[in-house]
Amino acid sequence: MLLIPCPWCGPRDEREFRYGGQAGIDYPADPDSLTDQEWADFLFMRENPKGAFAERWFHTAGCRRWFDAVRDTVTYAFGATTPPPVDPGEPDR
Amino acid sequence: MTGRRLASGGSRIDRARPISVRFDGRDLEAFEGDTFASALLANGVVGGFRSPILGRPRGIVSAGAEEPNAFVAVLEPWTDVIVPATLMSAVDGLVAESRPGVGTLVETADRREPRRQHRHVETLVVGGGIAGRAAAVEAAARGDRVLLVDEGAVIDDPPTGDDVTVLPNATALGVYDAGYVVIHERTPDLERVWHVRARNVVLATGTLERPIAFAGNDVPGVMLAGSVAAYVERFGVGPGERAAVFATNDWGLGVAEVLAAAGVEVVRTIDARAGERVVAADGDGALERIVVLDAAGREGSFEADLLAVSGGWNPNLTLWRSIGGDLTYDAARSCFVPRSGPGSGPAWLSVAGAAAGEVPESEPLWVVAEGEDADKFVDLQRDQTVADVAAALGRGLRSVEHVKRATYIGTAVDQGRTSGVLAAEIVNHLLGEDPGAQGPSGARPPYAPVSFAALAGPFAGDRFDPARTTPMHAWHLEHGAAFEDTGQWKRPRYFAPGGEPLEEAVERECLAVRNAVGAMDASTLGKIEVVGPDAPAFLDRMYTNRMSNLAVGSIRYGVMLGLDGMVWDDGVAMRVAEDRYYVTTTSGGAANVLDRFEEWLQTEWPDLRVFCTSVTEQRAVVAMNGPRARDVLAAVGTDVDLSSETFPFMTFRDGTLAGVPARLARVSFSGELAYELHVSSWHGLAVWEAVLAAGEPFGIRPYGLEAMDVLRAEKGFFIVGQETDGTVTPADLGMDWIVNPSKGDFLGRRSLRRSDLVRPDRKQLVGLLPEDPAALLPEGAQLVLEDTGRIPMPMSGFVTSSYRSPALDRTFALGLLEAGHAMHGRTVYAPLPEGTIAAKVIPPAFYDPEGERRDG
Amino acid sequence: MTARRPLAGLAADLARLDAEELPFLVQLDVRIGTGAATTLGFPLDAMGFPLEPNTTASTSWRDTLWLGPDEWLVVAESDQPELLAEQLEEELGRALARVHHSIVDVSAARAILDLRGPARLERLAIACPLDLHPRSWGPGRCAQTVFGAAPVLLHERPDATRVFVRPSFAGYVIALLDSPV
Repeated sequence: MLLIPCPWCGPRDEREFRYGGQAGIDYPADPDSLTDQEWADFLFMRENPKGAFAERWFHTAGCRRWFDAVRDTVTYAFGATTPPPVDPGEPDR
Repeated sequence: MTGRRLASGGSRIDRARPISVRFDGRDLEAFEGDTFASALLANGVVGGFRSPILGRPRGIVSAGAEEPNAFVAVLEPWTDVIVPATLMSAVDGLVAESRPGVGTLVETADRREPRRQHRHVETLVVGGGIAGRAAAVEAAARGDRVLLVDEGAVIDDPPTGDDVTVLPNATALGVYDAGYVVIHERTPDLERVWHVRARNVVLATGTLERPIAFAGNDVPGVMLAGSVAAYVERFGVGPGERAAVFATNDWGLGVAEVLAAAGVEVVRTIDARAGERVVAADGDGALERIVVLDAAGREGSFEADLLAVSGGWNPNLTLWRSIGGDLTYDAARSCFVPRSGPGSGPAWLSVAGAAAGEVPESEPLWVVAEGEDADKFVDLQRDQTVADVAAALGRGLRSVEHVKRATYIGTAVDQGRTSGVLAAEIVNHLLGEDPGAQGPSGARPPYAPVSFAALAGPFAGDRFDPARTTPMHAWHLEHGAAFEDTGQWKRPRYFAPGGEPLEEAVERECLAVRNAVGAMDASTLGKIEVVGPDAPAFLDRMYTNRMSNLAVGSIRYGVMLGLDGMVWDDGVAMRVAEDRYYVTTTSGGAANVLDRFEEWLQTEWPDLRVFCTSVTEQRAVVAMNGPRARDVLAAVGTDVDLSSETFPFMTFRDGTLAGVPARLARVSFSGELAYELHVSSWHGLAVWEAVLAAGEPFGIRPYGLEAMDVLRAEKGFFIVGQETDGTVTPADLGMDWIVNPSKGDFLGRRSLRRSDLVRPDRKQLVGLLPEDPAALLPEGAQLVLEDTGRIPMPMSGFVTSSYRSPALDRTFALGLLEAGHAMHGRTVYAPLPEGTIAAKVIPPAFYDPEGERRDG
Repeated sequence: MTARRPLAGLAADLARLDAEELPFLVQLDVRIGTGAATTLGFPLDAMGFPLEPNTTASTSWRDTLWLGPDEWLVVAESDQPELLAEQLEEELGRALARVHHSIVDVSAARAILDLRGPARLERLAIACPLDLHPRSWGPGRCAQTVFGAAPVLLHERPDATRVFVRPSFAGYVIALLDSPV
């Protein structure tokens, strides 16, 4: 039962989250220009490292924000989470 | 061969409170504070058990969790399928039966309703001995919330404090990520499972005394020395009258003094360090005699009914290992201790006290050389001997893990507590390796037997899964609805107030819709408000067709694809304003669609100014379908102009209906004139009742999912999850028109170009008319092209939906068939056990293919 | 035409739990886009939208609950809830007109249980994995979380915990709260 550090809500049970797979896989800017193989790589191919892994989490039963987190795939320990984006509450600095 | 209650002594028992228990039909006297095992021993029950596989007579070996033999089922006053007698409190009226390591499920539910509690603490301590109590006190002193648990009934001198909770009778079943620990608390009156989240977990789980393997070591009367001392000191029980002590260490030999002080005759002590050893323990069903060799090899034989054995101690590290803690071998103590240092176990977990290796030093003696290896037991639960381990190695196995799987040593209810280290050291020895070369195999949760009922706690029966209902549910119940599950929703399948069979009810409902009017509770539809200046562009990217040019007040049907190009969800979008859409989804897909919208807006297009909010339960929906629908609406009373010219198909109007605000949408899943009435859920039931009341003169009937399925199938409309399964594209469904080739990118667009998705022989949606108009194709029936009966035959497709159509007065079906679009006119066959059904392939449209009935 | 309390059939079960339904409260889901405070020229908490995660801001007649960094639930009582909902939507819409925002009436989308009594947090701990100890939970806090298989929103007030739950899950939630502690 993972304890996942939501950047807004703090640590919460994994029951409140949905897993989003590997982080940092941007949707291609021009999908039409990709070959079938390149497109399939984008759709289906993901890294599977032993150790630190950057992945996405969605706090679906909580604040409903997506964030990235680094988690060790061996020990399951969480490392850094990406800071939340600028929110609307405060005037920009 | 008798156990007995000593005249005095026993720190745990209350001699002023006698109780009565029953074991295998025998009534026994005991005292409050006894465990069931101490009660048995006090009454001279030294054997009383049988080994699971060989059926050998067995007796109580220990006083704790390491017990390998004495398992019982509790029949009264509570029920438990399998419990070690050593850990179970004896209570007045307890009725238990012996079990050979395998339980028998009982029919009656335990009277103790299992409970569940979540708890957060800074420090959880497992084990209420000296080290555990010290750790708890230290944690409490620094202000932690502390939970101390112990599997025994008594915790001596427990720590106290406002934020300190002490739980006896509580076993830690498993330690999981980030300090999540599941604890099973059970007393005669209560069963509760705690889910604890602890910032720090301290395992003060103590040690397990180690046996020695020698010929006949499984005979009742051979016990662990420390346990013998425990029975004397805690329960005032002498497990025998003529005892011998066989030990590798001072402490074990010291048990002889404990016995002597209690008045038990000690006939011999056997000190392994002096080269002495027991080479055989004999007896007919119970120990009668031991055979001893001294250092010079001289043999002696002694009558004895109790042999207390101490081969050293193994730190109890099951929980440590189950979460990734490593072991290292301590040669001086001849045992495995936690390996400290980086990478060994998580940072929040520590081991304290004896479990950390603070045990007396001990010479290792794993196996006595003399005697038949086949008589030297290693795992009493699995009836495995030294010979069995040797045989496994003889077959070429080398790893302890493989030996475990070949012999099952360590896999029984006692999880290798007396056998694991012993087996590993025997392997090391037989392979000519040093002690400690290989360690014991790991153990997995649960640490001790626990029933599924206890783990489920309150989440059982009606509380296992939510049964989600709509605002009209009470009405459906009162009017004879038979329900069907759509995910977690309970939806009426058909209405049979007179107990009519399904076929009759569905026929009646379908004919009502086709000829008059029907009303269906469609409240479970997913509904999402999509708001913002970029809402049009956003929806263009989500759907395969264009939504940005939808006129305000109009409705458009749309399909959403997975990134892989497969149909994923469908629904209609209603444009409420320039920057506002009201989107519906399938009932089962509502949460997924909302989650997807959020995912793309937050992670890919944060610059788009769109907000999506779920309103699935904000609105109840009544779907009125049938040629008299307009008349009924007028009778209900609305300020909306209902004429077809001003209120055309696929448009909606916001107004008042039966006095409440309502959105009337001309959407039809049946092909008949239809209105979806979207109202606040607060008014859902009232509007539903008003519609049915106003509709009575027009012959209105409520209808359920089954009729809805028939009606839409007659029109060839697919249902996500019925005609699609994640491998079906819009083109497969014959819906190329729903994919807009000239708008920009949308989810799934690129995949539609993949070579596999444009094959002409893909499975495509077809209609099927059985040659026999009364023959009903089963849904899921495979379709083949030739009726030869030759096996194997290539499968060309399958039936996705199949019904009897009252309107057509015959059966019909939808299916997915290879190259289906080109197969119209062909006959295909569904081979079935009761005979093959032949059917003609036609386009998937059976009723009113031109759509002429839509305006009523 | 009378509106129906979402938990009409469960009043007896609620009473046994020392709880009652708060029916027909106004609930508006408000979302406000990035950069709004800059555009408006003041931080949003000046408008009553709390910025600290999982906290609430209360006035005499309304509570505003933080649901996310750009999402709040405004809760208010009125004997004419549908009218107040409309008025509030309009008023907030005017105040936020210059910024990207959305206001959606969700008054009927959640039923509200008012749990009272000293055992209420223990009852919630049957199926809620949140730390509800006074060290991390107390009046003024709120949290979206799960109660068993049901998504819920909790709002702690002095002497009571409000549980916001979709009506379709309410029966399940109440049945679980009613199980032995």
